[in-house]
Amino acid sequence: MEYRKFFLQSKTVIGAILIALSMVAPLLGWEFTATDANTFVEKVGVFFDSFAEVIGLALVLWGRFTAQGPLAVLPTKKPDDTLQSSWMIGAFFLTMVVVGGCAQTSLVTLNPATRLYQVEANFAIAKEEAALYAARPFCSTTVIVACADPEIVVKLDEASDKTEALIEQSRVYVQALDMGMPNPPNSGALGQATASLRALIAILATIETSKGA
Amino acid sequence: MDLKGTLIILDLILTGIERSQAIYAKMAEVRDFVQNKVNKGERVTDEEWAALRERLDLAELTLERRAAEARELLANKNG
Repeated sequence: MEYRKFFLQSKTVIGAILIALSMVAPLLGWEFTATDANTFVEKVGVFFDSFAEVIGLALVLWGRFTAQGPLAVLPTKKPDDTLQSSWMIGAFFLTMVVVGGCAQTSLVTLNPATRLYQVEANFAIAKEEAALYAARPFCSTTVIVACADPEIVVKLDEASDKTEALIEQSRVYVQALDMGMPNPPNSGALGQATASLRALIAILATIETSKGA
Repeated sequence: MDLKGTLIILDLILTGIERSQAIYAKMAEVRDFVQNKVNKGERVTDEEWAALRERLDLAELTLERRAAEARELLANKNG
């Protein structure tokens, strides 16, 4: 039988999974409680937030440049290497634990209104970064550095619009809570807005990898 | 992979790290701000909300305008 690399041995697959994981973690309810958010976690939380996405990005880029051949859904034994699969799988699940545990250290002990403010303020930061990039001259055959790729500008705008829509739903939810409504609709909107914001940031993190400095 | 390829990847990764860290550093300031509010038992004031909305609107104006120009450019390029 032809040897095909087990899909979890693919750096591209692992990188993509890590990015997806950091986005969906809030939807799965992986949030730290006030007890969990001790002083140490508070101090390193920002690093791990950044670390998780950067590792994902790094793996995607690494995999892209070193990809070899098609992948298999189930593991197949490589004649000259019996330990590599188990090592990769172990590393993968260890990384999942780290990423999952640190996915949402920044949203702790906040009431919905304050959490909404935090999401919107973070959105403003991402949007300002996106606007700064979009304000550059468009890349062309004569402009190749410090320029904006039109396709990325469109992607940023679409991601921004999606996040904005989810934040709007969150506003409705928070207002309903403020008015004393017991179980208002859109209770998951805040988590979805956070996930959508992470997708926007993921695009921002790759901006310089596509065109000029 | 040759040395040039390795250096390109390294540069891409470092640039990505730098950008991510810059964004997350700003977000850490936001987190500290709201956490401070919670600790003091305060709410975000109307003025603070208004200032935030102003920033969002300003960024939206630029992004929206440039995205429209980008779409037009891409449409012309594609036919």
